Parts: sequence; C-alpha cells; structure tokens
Amino acid sequence: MVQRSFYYWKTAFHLSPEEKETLQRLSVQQLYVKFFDVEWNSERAAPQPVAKSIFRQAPPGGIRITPVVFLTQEPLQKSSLAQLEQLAVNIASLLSTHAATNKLSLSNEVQVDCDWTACTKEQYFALLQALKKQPFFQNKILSATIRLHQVKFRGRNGVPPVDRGLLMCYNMGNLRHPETKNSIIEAGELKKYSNHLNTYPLPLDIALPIFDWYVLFEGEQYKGLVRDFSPPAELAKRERIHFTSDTIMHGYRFKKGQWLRHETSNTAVVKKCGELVAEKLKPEKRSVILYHLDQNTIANYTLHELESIFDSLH
Amino acid sequence: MNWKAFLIACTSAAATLFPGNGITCGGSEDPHDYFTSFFSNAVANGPEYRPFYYTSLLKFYDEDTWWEKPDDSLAVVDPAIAREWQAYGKSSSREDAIQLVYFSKTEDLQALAESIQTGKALPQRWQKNSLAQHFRNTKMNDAIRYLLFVKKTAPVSNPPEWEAQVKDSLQINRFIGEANEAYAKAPDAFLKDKWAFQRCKLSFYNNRHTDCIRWYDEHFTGNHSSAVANLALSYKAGSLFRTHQPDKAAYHYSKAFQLSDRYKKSNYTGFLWASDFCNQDLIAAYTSHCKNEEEKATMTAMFGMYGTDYRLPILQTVYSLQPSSPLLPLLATREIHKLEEQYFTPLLSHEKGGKSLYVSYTWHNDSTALRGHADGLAQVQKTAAFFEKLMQDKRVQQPGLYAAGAAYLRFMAKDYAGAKAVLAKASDSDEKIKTQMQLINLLVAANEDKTLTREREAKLLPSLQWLVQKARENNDFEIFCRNFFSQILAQRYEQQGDSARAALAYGLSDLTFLVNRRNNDYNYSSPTAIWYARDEMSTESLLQLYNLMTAPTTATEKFLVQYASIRRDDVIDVIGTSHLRDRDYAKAIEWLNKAGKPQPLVEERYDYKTDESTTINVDPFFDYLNDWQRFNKAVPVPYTKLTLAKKLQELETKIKSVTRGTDPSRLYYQYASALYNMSYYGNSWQALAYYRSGGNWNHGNYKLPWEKEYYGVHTAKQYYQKAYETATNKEFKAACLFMVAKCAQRQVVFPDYGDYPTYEAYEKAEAAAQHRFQNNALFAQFKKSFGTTKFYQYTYNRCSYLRDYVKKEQPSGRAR
Repeated sequence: MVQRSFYYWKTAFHLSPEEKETLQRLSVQQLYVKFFDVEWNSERAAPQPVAKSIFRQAPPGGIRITPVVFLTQEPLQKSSLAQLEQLAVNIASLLSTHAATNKLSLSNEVQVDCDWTACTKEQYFALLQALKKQPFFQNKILSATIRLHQVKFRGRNGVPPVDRGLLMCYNMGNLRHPETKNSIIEAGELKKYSNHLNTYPLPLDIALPIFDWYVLFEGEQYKGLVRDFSPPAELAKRERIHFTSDTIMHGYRFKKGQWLRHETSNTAVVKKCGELVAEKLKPEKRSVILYHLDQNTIANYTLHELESIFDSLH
Repeated sequence: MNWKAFLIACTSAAATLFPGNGITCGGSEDPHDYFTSFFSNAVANGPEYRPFYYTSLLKFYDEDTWWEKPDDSLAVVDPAIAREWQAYGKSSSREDAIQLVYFSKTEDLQALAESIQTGKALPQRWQKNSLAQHFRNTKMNDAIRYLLFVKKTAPVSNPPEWEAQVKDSLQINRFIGEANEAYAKAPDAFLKDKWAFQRCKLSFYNNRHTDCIRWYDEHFTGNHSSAVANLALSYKAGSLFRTHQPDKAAYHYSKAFQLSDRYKKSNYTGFLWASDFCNQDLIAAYTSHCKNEEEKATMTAMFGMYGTDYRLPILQTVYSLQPSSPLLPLLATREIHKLEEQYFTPLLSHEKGGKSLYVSYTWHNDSTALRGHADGLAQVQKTAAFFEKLMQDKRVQQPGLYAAGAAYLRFMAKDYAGAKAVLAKASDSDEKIKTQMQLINLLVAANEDKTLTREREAKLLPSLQWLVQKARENNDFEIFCRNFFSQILAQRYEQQGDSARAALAYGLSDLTFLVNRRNNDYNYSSPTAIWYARDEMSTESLLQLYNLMTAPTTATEKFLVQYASIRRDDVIDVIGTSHLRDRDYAKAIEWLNKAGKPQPLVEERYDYKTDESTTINVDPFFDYLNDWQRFNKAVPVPYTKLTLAKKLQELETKIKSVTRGTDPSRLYYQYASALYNMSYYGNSWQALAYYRSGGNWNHGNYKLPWEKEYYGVHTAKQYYQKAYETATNKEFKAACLFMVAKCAQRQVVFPDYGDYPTYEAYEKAEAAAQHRFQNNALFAQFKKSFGTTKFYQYTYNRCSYLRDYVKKEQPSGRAR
C-alpha cells in the first residue's frame, strides 16, 4: 500500500490554492517539510541551524507534517563527539519548539537528510543514535534519506541506525557532463543501482522527482543550473537549446555558443523507475514522496499523471 | 545533495584507472585544486582577497574551509572597533577593550554601571581592566548604557540559533526609539556615531529602509572615518537594494568594499545581488554613479571578480582608469587561472599520454574541444600581450607579476621562445615572484626540446631538486610539484614512448617523499605510479622500468628512482603478473620468485545480515559447475600467484606429455577451470587483475590484450572443448559441454550504456544481447545429447539460464 506524500522544501510555508487542491484531490495526508538545515559556523566552530522554515500559513486540516532536517557534511566532519551529542539535543529542541510555536500537527516520523560518505559515517551514525535518545524522538520513527550510491556501496557507507530509509530516486546522473541525457532521472542509470535494493536491510520509502531544470553549458563546459526558466513554447519542447547569437530570454542572458539541456522528470520515465524499484522491494506499506510541491512544478503534470506516478510503486 | 560526492561515487573513469580514488576520504573534487595549475594566488594578493581567488566550484574561494582549524575565539572581534574603544576610554590595553566590549555579559555590565552610579568598588572582574577603570573614574555611564543596549538588541541581527522565534517588529521599533533618543542626547561624537549606527542597523532589520537611508545621510555624510561609519554604509547599501535602487546599492557596496578589509566579502555579496551577479551590461549605468576614476576602477573591477567568463576587457578598463588599482593583480591572477581551467587542462588531457587526473575534465568530445582550442589559444595570446604591456608600466603594482603571467601564458601557447624572451626582460626583487618565474623557467625548459634527452635531463636536474624542496616548504608548490611530474614530465616521457621513465615521474607526483601531506583532504592523492604500471605497461616496458630501478646510471635517473613512490618489489610483482596474464608460467615463476611478500589469493565476503566479513582462501581449480558455490570450498593454505603459476606449469607439462591411449580429458578440464577462475567471472580474478569492479562485464572493448581472455574466456572455452572431445564418460562429457556453453555465454558482448545516444537505443541493444545470452545454442545440444544424464538434472536444478532456455523451448501447457 502506498501512502502518498510530497516534500515541501521552500523556506516559507505558504500553499497556493493550486497546491492545496492538488493535495486534496490526490488524497495526500502527509507532507515532509524541511524545518531547517544544519551547517557549520566556522567563526564559532559549532554547528548552526540555517534557513529555518517560516510558517506563513497553517497547514491544511488533515495533513500531518513530518519534519525534515537537512544536514550538511561539514558539521559531521568538524564536530567533536561532545558537540554531536549537543547537536542532537539542539535539533530535538528546535524541532519541538518550532512545532509548538507554529502549532503544527506532526506525524510520528522525523527525517534526517544527509549525503553522508564513508568518511563521515561514524559521526553521522553517532548523531542519529544520539537523536534517538532524545525525549522528542521517543515513540517516533526516525528515518534517513538514502542516496542510490549509498545503497550500492553499502559495504563502505554502512547502513544508518534508523527505523526507515527514504530512497532518493533522483539526481542520479552526471550533471556536469555535456553528454549526460538527464541527470535527474534515467531508467538506465537507476538500473545500475537497483540490483542492490532487494538486500538493503532497512524498510524503504521512496522519493521520486517531479521537478525540471535547465543545465547551462558553454561548449563542453558546465556553467550552472537555470531554474524557473520558461522559454517560448516551441523551444520548451526541445531537449537542447543552442544559442547561435547573444540572446535574452525570459530575463536570462545567454551568450553565443552557450546551450541549455532541459532536464525533466518525464512521467513515463518516473513511472518506469517507480516500477523498477517496486520490482526489487518487498511488497509492504510505504510512503511515496514526490519532490517537490510547488505550483509551477505540478502545473507540468495532470492529476492523472501524478496519480499514476504514485501508483507505479504499487 | 552533495553533487560532487555523488559524481565521484558513480563516475567510473577515475575509479577504474586509479581505484584508490573511489575509496579514499573526501569524495569530492577539491574546489581549490581541480585543474592543472602552476600559478600561485599568493604571488599577487593579500589574504583579504582570498575569497575572490578563482574557482568555479564555489561562490567564494574560502567558502569551503574544512581543512582549516576552527576555533578562533577572536574571530568576532573587529579590530577597528576595539581600537576606537581603547582610544576613547584612554585604555592602555587593547585586550582590556576587547574584554569589555566583546566578551562581557549583561550582568557584568550592569555591575559596572552600578559601580559608576553608586561609587561602589569595581566588581572583581573589572578591577584590573583599564577601560572599566577609566569609565568609572570619569563616570561615563553613557558608554556602559550603549554597551548594554548592544547586548539587548543583539538578537535582532543575530537571533538565537537553536530557538524557534518570531520577529517582534514592535519591540524593534521601541529599540529604534531608544536609539534615537540616545543619539539626540549623546554626550560626545564617539557615542553619537555609535547611536547613529544602531538606528541605521535596527531600522534595516525592521524593514524601515527609507529611515535607514535617511539616518545614514543625516549623520554619516561627509568625512566620517569611524569604523561604524563603514558598517552603516553597508546597511544603507542594503536598504537601497531593498527599495529597488540596485545601481545605487551596488555603488555604495563598492565604496564599503574599498573601505574595509574585514567586510570585503559581505559587501561583495551585497554587490553581487545588486549587480545581478555581475551582469556586464550594467557596468556603464552603474559606474556612472562613481565620483572619480578610482571609484570607477574599483567598481568596474568588482564586476570582474565573479564568474567563469574571461574578463580581459575589464582588466583593460581598470588599467586605463587606475593603473595602480590594487584589484588589478587579483583580476590578472583570476584570468590566468581561468585559462588554466578552460584551455590548458583540457589541452594537456588531449595530448598523448594525458592522464586526465581531474575528474571534471575526464571527458572532452574531440570536435568541440578542437573548436574551443582555437578560441582558447587566441584568448591566451591576447591576455599575454596585455600583460606584456603592463609589465613595462611603472605605475602598476607588482609589474613582475605580469611578467611572470605573460611568460606563463606564452608557455601555455607553446611559444617557448616568447616565454624566455619575457623572462629575460623581467626582474623583480619580490621572492614570491622570483619563485614563480623559476617555476615557469622549468616548465619551458622541460618542454622546449622535441625530445627529453639525457643531456636535457641533466640540465633539468637542479630545477627538479629545487621543485621537490619547494614542495616540502610550500602548500602551493606541493600541488605544482605533483602537477609538474604527472601532467608535464610523465606526459612528455609517454609521448616519446618511454613508459619506464613516465612511471617514475608518476612516482614523484605521488609525493610520498613528503612526510606530511598538507593538501590531502580530497581524494586526489591516490598513488598513480603503481596503477600506471599495473594497468598500462607492457611486459617489455615493465622490464625496462625494473632495469632502470635496479641500476640507475645518470644522476637524474638516480634522483627519479630515489623519490618515486613505486618500489622495485611492486614492479617485480607486476612483471610476474604480466607473464601470468600471458600464460608464460616459467617467466612468471622466475619473477614472482623474486617478489618480496607474496599476497595470498583470498576473497572477502561480506554478510549484510551479520555485518561481518570473512576471508576465504579461494580455490583456483574449483570445478565451476555452480556459480554460487565458488566460495564455499576454501583451500586450507591460500594460493599465491607464485604457487598458482607453479601448479599451472605442472599441469601444462602434464598436458603436453600426454601419451597416446591415455585420457587427457580430466587434465584439460582442470586447466580450463583454472583459466575460468582467473577470469573476471571466477573466484581467482586477483591472480591477473589488481582491481575488479562489480559493474563490468564483457563489453568487447579491451584496453590491453590480456583483457580479451579475462572477459572473453576464449582459451578456457578451448580447453573445455578439448576435454569434451576427449572424454569418454557420458556424465563427465555432459559437464564439459555445459562449461563450453557457459564460456560461450560469457562471450556475448553486452552494450555499454555510455556508447548509446538514448536510453531507448541502449535498451534495444541490451535486449538483443540478452536474447543472445539466453538463447545459447549449445544448450540445445546439451539437452539433446545429455538430457537423460544425472548431470543434466543437476544443472537443470541449479542453472537458471538453462532452466529458462528449456522452458522456452517447451510448448506451452506441457508439464515441466
């Protein structure tokens, strides 16, 4: 059984009428909301929370909120063990006061998002264990995001000491490579990792992408990501847009010789990936979370398409 | 999402060539060392410009500072502010001022205020503090009131981190009222400045931007040099930005940038926002706000301190406006680094022997690279010509920098005579510049001859020794030294077909002669020399390397052997292995006998259920009828390459001496099994390969000849076939044919995803390969000839490929 869900990743929580309607029509009852990031403050030599979410609006009734904490690598690399213990206390306290201040109805899950590596695994796992000991986490499910490479290289990356994993099925290709077709999601890329899924020792929820972006290149050189970019309709259909002269388009300036690769989360591909993953996992109740809830993003999909993406994991 | 870590984890190019890369720590490209560089940032620029050194991987060069030791408790102290308080309070000690202004608690200040008001003795904490004493003696309660106000309002700009909080704008308005009142009544200019600053700052944070601008103009116009005036200017700039006046905001940020070293980065961040991240189309309109050429030069330069595009026109404008601009050397160094990143590094990696050690540049489509090459070269030459002009102008700061830059760029353009001519004209007394020039001299000397002869090597030797010494002393030179040996010298040797010397040069680039590596937080540092020998050298060149290492004759050879990471024992092992790959067992034994400590042929098995690993002594002669059991039967004493070679030689001799009338089938079968086990699919792959990626298969494209057997098991198949042909026992014959079929299946070439333009095309090719894989014609023969044997039943139950094949063959509805 699939529990439908979305990530809400913007700092200011404020649902547009379209976003609300989508949640309602898809019978979504759970949102994974990023509460804050944890970074390293080098001046004070201590971890610090940044980009704390601001609830400009109460979440709609009937929607439970799962807080997500995004943790960068640096606090793990630099914190002492004592600092990690304190970080666990601080995270728990900020989650708790943040929920209370904003009168939020929380689910019984808390998620930590961290792209840990073999070199930070010990610190990360120690932090997760310390989090579990906090009163705020009692009787709660602690989940952690799992990247595909962390599944594949489990031997050296280890398995985080949490109750559930959230498998991120996106950002799987080489973004900077000019010949990459789509770095967000490709069934071929996913296949390289999916063989390792059936033996992963944690129950897994699944996150699938519904975002798109443009990747800017100059010749072969990666120049950066262009988001919230809407070229004219006939160009928007193309996978690549080449600029043969200096061009201003939708407020962006492009130079002669630059080109864009439009990377999307095509419904068919996302569904295919959902199916590939489903084949490998034991049938059980799990959340399927789409990244992410945003009216511009959901405008690219019909309700039926979103529904079919959720259903691909059945 | 950490992109870089993810990319490394799934990029196989570097990991396959140098497996160390895949498993060392860091897992990211080093944003300060991701292209081939020989030009030091330190030559031109002071530490205040460090954030603006060139890197395309970070917004600011110093953003990622995890190699630096944290814990600088004085980082919060603004020395200018501390100095002013010290002077104001006539304190003899800067430390006293810092303690009182920055590190006192509210209750400490309250106690001090009480002491001033009541005449009570100073609290213990302040008794020895000269600033506190002065305030008490002169009854300067106003100063303490100000400090208490700063403590009270600190959360407005610096909210408590680990607390959820809601901004209280009414409360901030009350603070602003308090600051206004205190400003009006301030007893002296010092405190008036302070209160004026506070009301600017608080109004900014309370979104009262018009008030912020007005109050700044009211108080700080004219010649205000106090430290808070600079800070207030930034708030004014911020308020201009918030009130949609980005041009004026950028102008004010550029002024604030100029005034303070400490806040250069924060002011530049504001400038980036206001200038639409250095949108070049805005330069003319924005600089029209500048009052003089110097201001114009600064602001123009700031438009060139961000982004990856070449900015030579900006340098030219800055130079024409203010030749002595302190930003000009910074811009020049940035241009050199962009050319290194975008022209020089790809160029080196395209030349024969290019090692593409930097992951970002492992790929370059040849046609586009060629197109980019001509443009890049033109840019190098234009920039060099401009630097040559600057090096002769006495008005510029550090003309030697431009001389070094111009010579280096001429070198990049392969104009070695031009580079030497520039260096001959240059003179500079600055040590850093002299060192930089010496490095460029070495680069030219190592490249100007078509071939690196022994004579040239002898001439280079003192410089090579110097470079090694510099690597020991200096962070930058650690990288330059590594780059020189791996990207310049090794490459040159490879180009002239001297792999042995190339291996030694790689050996120096491994920098194992350094006791403590400084720049090793990222994963560049895997040993390249040994992997070069293992993966890219033929037996013949390995023997040359061995001879060179055994008896170096020239001084340069001795130097290279002494400092290279690669050891003679490693080379011996590779030579032995190389012979084993060629199935020349006598020579393999000869060489492996010389090797130091033989490595046992073992395999680590990881059990995720128990999270434990066990070591198995693999059996290279395992009868490979069932894939899953290949690690079940360990041998009591592990084989080594040497003992395996001996056993294989023995077997080969027996095969050769088989006489007529005897049955050689078991011998053939045993030999074939060993060859199969030593393949990619077997349990003893480590007898031939040093690294095995789980994601490979027979893709049909072999880097070295021995890989054809390693992936294609052709010889193994031949021997199974011979066994089949000579066997008489039907059950055994069945086993032989089954193994022939298995080898044939391994010879099905599977497509490599990267070779196909679309996923659909790849999927189609994969489906075709899969079809060939599953429709093994030999299975038909196997079933037909041996369907009634016990062995057939045994394999039918264990081999899913056979089962699938048989099921497909049967008409539907029939009992299975």
